[in-house]
Amino acid sequence: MIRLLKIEWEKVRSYRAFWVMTGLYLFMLFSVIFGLPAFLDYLASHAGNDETLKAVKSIVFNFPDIWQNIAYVAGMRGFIKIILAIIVVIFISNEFTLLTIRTNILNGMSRTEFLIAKLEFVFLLALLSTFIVFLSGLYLGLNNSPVTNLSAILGKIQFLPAYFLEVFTYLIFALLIGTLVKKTGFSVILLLLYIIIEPIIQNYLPDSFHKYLPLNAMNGVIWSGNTSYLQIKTPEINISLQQYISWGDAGICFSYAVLFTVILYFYLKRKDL
Amino acid sequence: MDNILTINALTKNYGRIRALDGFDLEVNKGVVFGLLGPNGSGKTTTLSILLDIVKPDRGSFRWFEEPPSHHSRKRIGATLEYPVFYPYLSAVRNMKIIARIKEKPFGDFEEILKLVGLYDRKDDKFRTYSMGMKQRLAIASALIGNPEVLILDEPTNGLDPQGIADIRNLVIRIANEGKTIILASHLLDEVQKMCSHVAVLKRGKRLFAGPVGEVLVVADTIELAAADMKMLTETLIGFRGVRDIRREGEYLTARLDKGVLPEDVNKYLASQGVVLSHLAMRKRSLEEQFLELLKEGE
Repeated sequence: MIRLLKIEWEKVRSYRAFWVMTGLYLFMLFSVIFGLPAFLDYLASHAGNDETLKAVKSIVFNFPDIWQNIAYVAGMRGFIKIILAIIVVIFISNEFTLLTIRTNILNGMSRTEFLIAKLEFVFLLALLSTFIVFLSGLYLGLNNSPVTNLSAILGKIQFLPAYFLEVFTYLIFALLIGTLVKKTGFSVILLLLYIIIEPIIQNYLPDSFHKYLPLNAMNGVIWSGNTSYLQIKTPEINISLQQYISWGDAGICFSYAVLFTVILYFYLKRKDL
Repeated sequence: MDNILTINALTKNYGRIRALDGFDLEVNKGVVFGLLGPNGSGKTTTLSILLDIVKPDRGSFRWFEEPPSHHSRKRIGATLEYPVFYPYLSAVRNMKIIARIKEKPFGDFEEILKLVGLYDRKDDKFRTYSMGMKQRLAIASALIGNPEVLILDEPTNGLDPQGIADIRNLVIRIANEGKTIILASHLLDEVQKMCSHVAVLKRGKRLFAGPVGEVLVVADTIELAAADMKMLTETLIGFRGVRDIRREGEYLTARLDKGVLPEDVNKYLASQGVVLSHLAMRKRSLEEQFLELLKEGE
């Protein structure tokens, strides 16, 4: 399968738009993750003293909660992750608008291989994103967390694979939109519009069904940040923070990844190109 | 193994339009096979199906006497419709993608690029190419990895006269090496110059197929009559520009050699004292159909 990755690599290696977008995404990701402490500093400076500042930071960047917190921020719906999805949508719909998918197929790529190549590509993108989140978390945690022993560091590390699952599934969703819509511009618009459309659909559905909607599912594995220092539960304020990753939520998200892939598979299998 | 391609009753509809209607074909090894027909006659649809770009509604085909798969396509070099490449990549980068797909080495790129006359521009982006250069790259990409079969869809489209001559010479040269070539064209002249066999398509149906010499004979036939048919026959035999003199009912028919006009025959006969009561050109029915075909194609 290295051959397919090499082919995809040839397609993007001197595609400037791809690198500009990817650079923009990484810049945004870093800005958000590293802007977070600055934001907390700002909040704390209004509180007035140095102790509060330290306290606020250590609440958010405390190992192991930091993994959950930055994975949550990096994976928020309609936020920076959308740039990655736009890259994918452009990348796949280009193959249809430029008709280069034909060049691929007629030269001896099977339709299944075409799909596998794209899946491998978005897998790597999701992996890259997860890796950045990991490095950032490690750096911020080591600088701000009061505890830095290994068990604390690895405590909530499962939020990283959860983040990966959310991003990967979302990028397969982007592949699906790009493939079905084909026109690059329309695909991007639909990808953005859907962020607004789904909450509207949600309004007409019973509450218990909400988490099964695709966008909810793709953002429901990590649905809040958390900190062990702060549990607010009074009769007036009821903020429930996520404690752990539920297999059910991960399962729903993963099912969507499988469903999108299956649709792509059968669509590509039968379609005139 | 002599058979390269077998097509069985291929049918394809685009909505209500029947693009291909029970099309059959056999192509043997070493043949330069022309698919001839006007635009919209089903040539590109046929090639698209053979390359898995389009799925047929009915019918089947076999490459190399095997059920078609992407593995068989790796043994074929093809151009389809108009040149399609990644516009932001150079010729070489585009060829690398294709070579990787075909699992072929990059070693023959230089030779191929020189062969099609694109070597000087090999590192420029595809986007900056003229139509002729794009077409040359399409042919170059078809040659990657020395494929057993070459499929060329309107290979001289968009080329200037020099380019057309270059490409035709190239095809003839490759054909002389014994490679099997399938060439789609709407130009009778092109098929006659390059192909050994031909199938003529019209509205998705095969009109005829066979060796070019048999199918595309363009010699004109004339009908003659005179009061003294015996004398006419004897005199006509003495004229050098005609062949195949035959009696057909009340007329005599003869095939004209190339460049000979009915007037020449008439002049000769008159000089020999034979006065014609009837002189007519007879188009062969095939040719009639073909001209009609080409007219519709314009």
